Amino acid sequence: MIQMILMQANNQSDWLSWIYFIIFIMIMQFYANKIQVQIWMGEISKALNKLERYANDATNKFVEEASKYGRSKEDVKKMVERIKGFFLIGPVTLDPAGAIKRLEHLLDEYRDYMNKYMDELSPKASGWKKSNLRDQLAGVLALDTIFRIVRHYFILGKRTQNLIYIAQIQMLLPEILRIARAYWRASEAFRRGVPIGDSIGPLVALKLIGDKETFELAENIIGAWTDVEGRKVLVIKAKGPGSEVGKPGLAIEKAIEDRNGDFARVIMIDAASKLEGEKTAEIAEGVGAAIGDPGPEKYRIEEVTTKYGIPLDAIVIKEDPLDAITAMREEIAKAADEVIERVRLLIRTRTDPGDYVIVAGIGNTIGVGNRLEVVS
Amino acid sequence: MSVEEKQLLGAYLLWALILVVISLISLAFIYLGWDSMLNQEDYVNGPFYLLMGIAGLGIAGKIAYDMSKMRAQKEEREQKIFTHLECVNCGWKLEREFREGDYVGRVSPNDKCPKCGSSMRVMAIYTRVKEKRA
Ligand SMILES: [Zn+2]
Repeated sequence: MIQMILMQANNQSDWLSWIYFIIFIMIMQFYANKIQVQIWMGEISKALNKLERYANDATNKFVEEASKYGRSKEDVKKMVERIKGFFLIGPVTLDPAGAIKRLEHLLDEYRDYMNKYMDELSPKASGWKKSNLRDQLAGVLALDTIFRIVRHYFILGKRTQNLIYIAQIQMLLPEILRIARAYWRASEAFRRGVPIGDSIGPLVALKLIGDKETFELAENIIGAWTDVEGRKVLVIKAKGPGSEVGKPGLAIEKAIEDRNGDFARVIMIDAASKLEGEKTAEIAEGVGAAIGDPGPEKYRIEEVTTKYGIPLDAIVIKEDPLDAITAMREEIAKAADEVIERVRLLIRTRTDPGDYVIVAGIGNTIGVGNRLEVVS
Repeated sequence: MSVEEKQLLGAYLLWALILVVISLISLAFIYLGWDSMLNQEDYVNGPFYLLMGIAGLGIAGKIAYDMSKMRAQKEEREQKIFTHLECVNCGWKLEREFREGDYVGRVSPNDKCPKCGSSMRVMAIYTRVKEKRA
């Protein structure tokens, strides 16, 4: 067979066609990059359109909803345009002393600004509808930011034709779209007032409180005394059913200081990011302050428990970070009862009857009330 | 049919046409390669034709795969939310679609227990997600 090939290869015209073929391949090699750039730019452009659709859709739905509460659609639209791109500049940490205090101050200012803005935007909305609108708007702003960033790289790539810029954003596209879809769904959940994945902490707290009387413990935080296995338990959660996380750190600090540190244990319950491959709603236990705030709340809790030497336990419910901001999944809601069992076990085995214990359900309490209401 | 859907359908038909043409050309090349090797004992052009044909079929397969993904992407509807209610008297459990105003812990003003007629309380609100990721 090799002889045959050699014989045929001697034929000059066949040699020529092979040379043409090789030259063609070389030219293709040369242009492959350019073609690749065009394909990727096409993909980015398509994704950009989709991101714009998400952003516009979320904005329109927000305008529609917010305009039910005392302002015309045009006014609301103008006000949304005005707040797009609103930002917070984090405190300088070059000199870290007091950075937490400064961060807390800035976060307070940020929240106050947004709340005032909502007063202006939807003057007739009730307290908790206003918070829901505020966080629906937050979803709109996040989508707007995502769109702006992708557009930035798209234009940069188009102008420079630089394969590196384009490749970077192209490779991230599936993840960016997944995040954008989550924010789009999140703003829908906030519009309707549906509990989100992050609400599992408050949900567990509500189930522990049952129909006991509640009282306001700190800003947007409520508490209730209940009896668990013969221990006196102070259950803490954000004040629902509006979208609110409150200041659980401040509340725990206040409760502990009020009793001069006479608490045997502090148990915190929160949603936590799951790793890929882990099951949604898997429960895990550990030690430390289970709270995902930017810092100030966690800091307060660590400080006060350290001051009085109170053990700090954490129970977390694992979920995808994107599930945490969208409507609560059934598996997560169903995990609440098992979490309560774990809390009971922890209290039974680690404290003595008559002890005082704090159980804090951390997270956004949207769609979750404060107690099991009784029939009037 | 919206403009967007029309565009999508147009793109879909165009790709389907391209798919058919590429497949036919590839099959022709495979036949040509086969024929020249077996019947004409041409071992220079034969394998080359065969290779072209197989590569063409590969491209056709990729197009078909992308098209199937294009269809799957389209469906993106509103999430269905459910409200789980329990009777305050006898504990009867009930699930219905979420209505605005529902929140966990609330005694629903519009729901009565089908068994004993007492009030019902919202005990959970959730959505169901089909697990796509492994
Ligand atoms: Zn009943």
